[in-house]
Amino acid sequence: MNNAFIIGQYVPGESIVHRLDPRTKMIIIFLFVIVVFFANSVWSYGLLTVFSLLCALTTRIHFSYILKGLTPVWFLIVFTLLLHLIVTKEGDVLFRVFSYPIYSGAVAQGAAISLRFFLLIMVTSLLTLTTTPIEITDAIESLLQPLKKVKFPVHELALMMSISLRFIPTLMQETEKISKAQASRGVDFRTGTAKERIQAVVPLLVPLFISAFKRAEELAMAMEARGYQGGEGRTKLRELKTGRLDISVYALFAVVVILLFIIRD
Amino acid sequence: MLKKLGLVALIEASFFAALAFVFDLLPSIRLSPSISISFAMVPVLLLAFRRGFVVSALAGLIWGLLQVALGDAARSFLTPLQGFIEYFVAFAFVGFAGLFYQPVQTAFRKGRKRTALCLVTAAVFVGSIARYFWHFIAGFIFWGEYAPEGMNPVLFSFIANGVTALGAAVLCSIVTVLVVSSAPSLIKPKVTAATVTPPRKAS
Repeated sequence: MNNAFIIGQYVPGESIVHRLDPRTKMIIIFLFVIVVFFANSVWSYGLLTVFSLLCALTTRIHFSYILKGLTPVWFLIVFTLLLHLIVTKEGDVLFRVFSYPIYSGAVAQGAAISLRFFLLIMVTSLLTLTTTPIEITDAIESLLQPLKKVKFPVHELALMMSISLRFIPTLMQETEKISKAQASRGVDFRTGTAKERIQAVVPLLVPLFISAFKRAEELAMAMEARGYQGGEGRTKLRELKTGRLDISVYALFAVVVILLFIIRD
Repeated sequence: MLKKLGLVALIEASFFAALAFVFDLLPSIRLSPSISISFAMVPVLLLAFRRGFVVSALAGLIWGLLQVALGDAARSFLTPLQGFIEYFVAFAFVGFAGLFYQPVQTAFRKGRKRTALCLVTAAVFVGSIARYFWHFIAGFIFWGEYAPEGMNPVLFSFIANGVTALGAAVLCSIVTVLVVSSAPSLIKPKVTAATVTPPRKAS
């Protein structure tokens, strides 16, 4: 549980990617995950791979650290590749493994799909590696502003996100504190039958829920006492600004997209 | 929304979304790389019986957004639409358990504890199925593309998500029933100054 106190994936830094407006990062990643599906040749995949690696290197986060963060999906990437090699029977026989034929179409299809998967996961990871959760919340609030016209509660959602993010470490500490207190009374969470382990969770959950309700009430009281009335007319501590750097990054991405459409089959 | 639901309800939804996120970090029962069962839904389900559909759906939505903001979702984000379905829609749909809010409250008020607990169990199954229905849809539409020819993505998605949904529903219903039966006051919202809707300003 102790390791879990470091929540999220954010790695502090001063790189260009770190300094970008979080909205710019989110918009470019949104467009990238659409654009990646238009790649259909070696050159187009090559271009997107170079762009993604360039983005990863610009973050100044050690590349092995970024790859380590992808550990849970390596299995899926390799599994996809292997399945294609075994099942797909298109094109010529390239070589044989223990007399089992491997077709050129299987290699091409398997490699393309695995690479696309890898690029998608790596680029989306870069957002959370270089942006604090609170910046992501601000960006979501800003990007969803147009929905206010259809009475979508954008401000309330952002407020709720901020409160959740602020209290995750507190609730984690509380969970650990209560589990230790219950363990000192003889509750065993790790051993016993399934029934005993489920029953052992209840003395942990009930005080945790009671405490969360109490905290929620106290926070609401404190906010009301300070005159909180919702989103109308509120000013912000952190203002998001789109600068020259963001415009340059949009321009670079536009060039990559145009090149992709020129070189794709 | 603030005036309609009250500030306490919104903050409770934020806290319980955070709790769901914390419970998700605790060890879960892992049956295979794509099937794992945990009781992380319990906070959102409990809120469904305390505050009803809208507040619990909001808590579910915030739980999904937390996974996006904290990077947990980045490992399974394929397209914007898939991300939207799996992290915004699916988690918010856990709130469907809140459709049982009135019957559960009435049963507890009238002292019919057994009926109330049966309703709680039914509501947990409805919430779980509502959530995993969207994971199933996303499973065969978006993840199916990564399956080689010859494999049926619909069947695979149905089995993977069906087993997870069933396992999560069984585990969460047991835990929720135990929690609600040992502390029924948890699902009774307290009326305090902060829960009362502030009077509208005279224009």
